Amino acid sequence: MSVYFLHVLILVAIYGILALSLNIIVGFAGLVSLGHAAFFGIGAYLSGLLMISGLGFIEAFILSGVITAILGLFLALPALRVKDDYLAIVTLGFGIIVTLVFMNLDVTGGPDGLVGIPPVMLLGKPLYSKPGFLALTVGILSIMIATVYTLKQSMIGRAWAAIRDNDVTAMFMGINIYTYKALAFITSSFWAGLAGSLYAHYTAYINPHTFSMHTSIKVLAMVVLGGIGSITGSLLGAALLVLLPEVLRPLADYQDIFYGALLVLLMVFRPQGIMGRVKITEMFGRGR
Amino acid sequence: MLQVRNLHTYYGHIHAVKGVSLHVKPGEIVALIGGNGAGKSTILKAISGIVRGASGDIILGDEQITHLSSERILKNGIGHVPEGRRLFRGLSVRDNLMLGAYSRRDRARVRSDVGEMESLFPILGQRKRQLAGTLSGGEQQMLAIARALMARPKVLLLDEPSMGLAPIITSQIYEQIRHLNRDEGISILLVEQNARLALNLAHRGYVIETGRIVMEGQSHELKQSNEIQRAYLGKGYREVWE
Repeated sequence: MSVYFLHVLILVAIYGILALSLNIIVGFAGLVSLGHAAFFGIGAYLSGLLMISGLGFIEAFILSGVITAILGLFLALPALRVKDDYLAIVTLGFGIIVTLVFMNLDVTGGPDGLVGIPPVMLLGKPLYSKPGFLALTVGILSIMIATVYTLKQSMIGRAWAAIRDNDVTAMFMGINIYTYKALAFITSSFWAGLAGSLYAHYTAYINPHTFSMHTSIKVLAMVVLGGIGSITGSLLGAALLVLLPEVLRPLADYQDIFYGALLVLLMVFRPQGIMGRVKITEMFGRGR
Repeated sequence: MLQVRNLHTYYGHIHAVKGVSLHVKPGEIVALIGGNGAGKSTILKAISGIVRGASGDIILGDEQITHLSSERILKNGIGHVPEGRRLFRGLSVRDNLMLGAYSRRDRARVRSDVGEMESLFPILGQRKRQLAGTLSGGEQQMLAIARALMARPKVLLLDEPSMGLAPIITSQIYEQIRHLNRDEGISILLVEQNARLALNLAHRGYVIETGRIVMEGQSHELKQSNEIQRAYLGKGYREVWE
């Protein structure tokens, strides 16, 4: 396999983790989030900085997930006081603030970004090989798919589905909807943080631009395109939106036009996404 | 079993329920009848803790449940089948049943109770993978009742089970309710606009008008009362569906 092809596959796997993590908020719990790249970025910067400051990869990797999850809870506390369109705006604002913080702190390297992030270290050796990194990323993605699938089938998954379907009735059933919404944000940001960590150590260089609103929208598009709530869908969506720009590369300047047009066509002809049953309009409380 | 004493509720400045006292004995079906806006549904919602800020006493067994959260009241044994059924329309029949047992922690028993519900309402077993929103009105009502039963309530509050259903379906639902009460021993507090239907099923009844109980008694007595015949049973008119 060519190095280029491996590189694309690694990106597909990392964005797969990221899209699947957003699917927990959007697909399982039925909430809107337009700031997901912030968690991706927090995980990336944390993991990079922790390893630069001397921590081992495994410690930095796990800590970046855990700390991002805690920050996810901090976002959830104010965000869950509002619903639907308002929640979208709150998460959008959160994403913008986090990008600005990356841009202006000294420790994150400001707009120039963080340079010289150490590579993944496993068993005392640096992991430079692309097949090796792909295996690591796919391994973590697989663990994630297994946990997320189990979660979806559990009582927690059922409570999320109930909240997504009708939160007032969920309260009738004795479900504490705020606890479960917060849990969705915590779980989701944990995995987004891990995706960020993998990304940082893979590219060895990160800057605030990678974690801007543009990425949040792209990840949301992956989830919607694949089908809201579907695990396979999120992975397909990630693969599609990472591969598509590569395939369209020969079109050069016209690339984005085709990219946009394809998204529009897909939403017109298949609003529930490739694998999904829920339509995007229902996310905003319409179409019920 | 269930006792309500001097219940008052308010929606903002509107005094919706004005000092209602009623009780349900073990194994009894009690009907609340009355016109639109009389406060029947509000009484049920106050009992199950969905309408907050009620004053008065609500006692289940020998426990005060007046100011508990709706989750606690549910755990204490009040099941509520709300008006209009309120199913999770986008979830399967099976998921709806499982969510009814959400407040319980005895997972193994829950599984066997799902089986029990599916034998009680065979249609729910046949349609377990189907989305609840695609069921017919009568099936939805059965699912709503089964879902409430999944919490193993001591008292079941039923709000207008006949709403929006064809008369033949309504009588099937009422047959099921009678069966639940007689064979499963569940006490039922029933709210119904269709007074004839309710009084034929219930042992006792209360008549509510603008937030007050204006009459109470055994069902057969109420059916004989001139007042009720005139106001609620439409004596002198043949009801179209009969």
